[in-house]
Amino acid sequence: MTSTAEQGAPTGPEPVGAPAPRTVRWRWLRSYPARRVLQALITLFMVATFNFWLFRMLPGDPARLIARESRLSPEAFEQLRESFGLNEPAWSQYLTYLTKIVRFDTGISFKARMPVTDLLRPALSNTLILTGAALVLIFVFGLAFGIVAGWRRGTRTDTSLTLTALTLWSLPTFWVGLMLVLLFSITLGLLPVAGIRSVAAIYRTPLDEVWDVLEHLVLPAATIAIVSVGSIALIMRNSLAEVADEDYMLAARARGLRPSTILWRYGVRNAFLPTFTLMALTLGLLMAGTIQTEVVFSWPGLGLLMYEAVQDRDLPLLEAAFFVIAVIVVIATTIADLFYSRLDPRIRSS
Amino acid sequence: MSVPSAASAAEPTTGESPVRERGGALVELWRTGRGKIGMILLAAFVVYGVAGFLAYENPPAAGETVEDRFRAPSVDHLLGTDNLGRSVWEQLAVGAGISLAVGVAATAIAVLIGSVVGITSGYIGGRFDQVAMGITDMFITIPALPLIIVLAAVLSRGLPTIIVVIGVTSWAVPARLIRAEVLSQRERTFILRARAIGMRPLHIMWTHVLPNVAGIVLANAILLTAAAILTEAVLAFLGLGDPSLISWGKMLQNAFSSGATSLGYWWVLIPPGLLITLMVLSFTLIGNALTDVIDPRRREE
Repeated sequence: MTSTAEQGAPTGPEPVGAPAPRTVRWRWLRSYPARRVLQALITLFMVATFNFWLFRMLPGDPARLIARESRLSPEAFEQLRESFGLNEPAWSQYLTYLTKIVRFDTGISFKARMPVTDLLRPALSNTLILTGAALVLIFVFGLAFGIVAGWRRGTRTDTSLTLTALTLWSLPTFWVGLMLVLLFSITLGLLPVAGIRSVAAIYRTPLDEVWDVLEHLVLPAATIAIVSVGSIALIMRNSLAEVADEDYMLAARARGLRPSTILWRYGVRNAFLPTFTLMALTLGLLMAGTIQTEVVFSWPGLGLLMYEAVQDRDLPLLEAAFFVIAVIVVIATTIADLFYSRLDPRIRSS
Repeated sequence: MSVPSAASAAEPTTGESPVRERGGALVELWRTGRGKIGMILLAAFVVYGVAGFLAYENPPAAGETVEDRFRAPSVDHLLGTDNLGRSVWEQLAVGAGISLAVGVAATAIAVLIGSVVGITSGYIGGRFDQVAMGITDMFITIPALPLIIVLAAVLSRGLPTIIVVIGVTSWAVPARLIRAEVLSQRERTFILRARAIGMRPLHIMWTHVLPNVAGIVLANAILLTAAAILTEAVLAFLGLGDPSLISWGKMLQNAFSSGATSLGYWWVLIPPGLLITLMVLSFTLIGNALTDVIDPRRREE
């Protein structure tokens, strides 16, 4: 983490003995938040550039990709090239692409023949609902298990938690989803198999709808949480174990404070911060789980959109979904880093 | 990241690099319960993978009649058949080799790229180091699976594609680890001495720095292998695998897309996932135990 502070410095070394007002005015650019935000922007710029050139570098004519099934006449083909801007030189296309990306205009879907943005918007909110629900589960259970194991370090509870966490981490997320469906939906018939709402459901009250969505949410959220909860518990455990060796913990014990006070006021409070940061860093992994889960449960989010785009070879949709996921992850990690640096000044100065 | 560990505080008095005995680390690994379970499991999977590769064709032959499809386990078909009447038992056996091959090959690519980036970045330092690590951090931040899906969807389908795509998206963490280690080693006396007697930088890297980094890189590589096996399974499940080969992920895709879940055909659903989990777990256990064995702080506990 400390190392991130070293990069992204846009300016050169400090000019020696030059107290020009210019330096003062731009000093904020050197501050940690400015550099961190700049780094995030560069990352997203790189993703956008990658998307653009990937599309160009594909073997064959992109227009042929768009036209896929239908055998177009040469005139219609030319018109297609024109309407997608494929006749412009590559660099001008690239600039147009970048200005569009900034306005979140991500082109037209090959398959649906409508703006990708219109497909992305509902998918984004569905993905956020699912990921949010999973995060709550991971947070509550992960921290609880981690605290128990970290506090009883070296005991049998601790060892078995480590083993359980490693096993959970080793599970393929999509398979966990399949198993939950097999058990709870097919065998026991307790919960819906797929989707976000019941087919052709008519809701009398808004509460009915919320309940219906919640029923559909249980298994997908649990799927994501089961795989990630172990690693969060391990992070919390290790963090707590490290804190336990600190002098102030010994001092607290020597002062005869109640064990529960030592645990919560001194242990958990100090161990929580690193855990929180590492949790933000695992967000990319969480998205990986979300994509697989959405496919298994036909949850209409960004992951399912990506899956369908792969099946339909719908490149604009695929790249746009990837870009939106990258934006979510980059923004979240940046916020977490900034938050952490505010609380731990060592990061800013290193 | 480049904070010197407890080990580097204790400088060796001789000019030799402080490499611990290889056998010693292996014995220690075996002594940890996790390491032992992991190593036994992994050995079993290697034997299983080789045997499956030698014994059966990939893909196994389809059933002859429609009645052969989705047969429940019986004496004839130990684990039943799938939607095309292919033996689940045979598919499982050939899948082990695919998972192992992808896992090891993708990791080799990742570690190779990571070593080159990490060593040059750490050794050259300065502006080059800043830029290289900036790019590395971007790769760490960008969500890997979506990137892998985009790449795999665009490139031609096949096992080599999968290996390369996983490899070129997983080098960032090893690169950071190796760089941090190179930085902490660079100023140590035996390196400075080697430099003083005129040894060439590359030679120093090869003979002194690499052996000291090896343990941490190995532990990380084993964990990377676990992740690569999982990613391969996901890609195959999403229909991005090699279309002509059966793998465990592909088995689950066939089961899922042919509606085996709704039909409750557990024999095509449970075994492949169970084997993926156990194989990944074997690497995870070894990697996790090895990290503890190498980390001097935890060893003292």
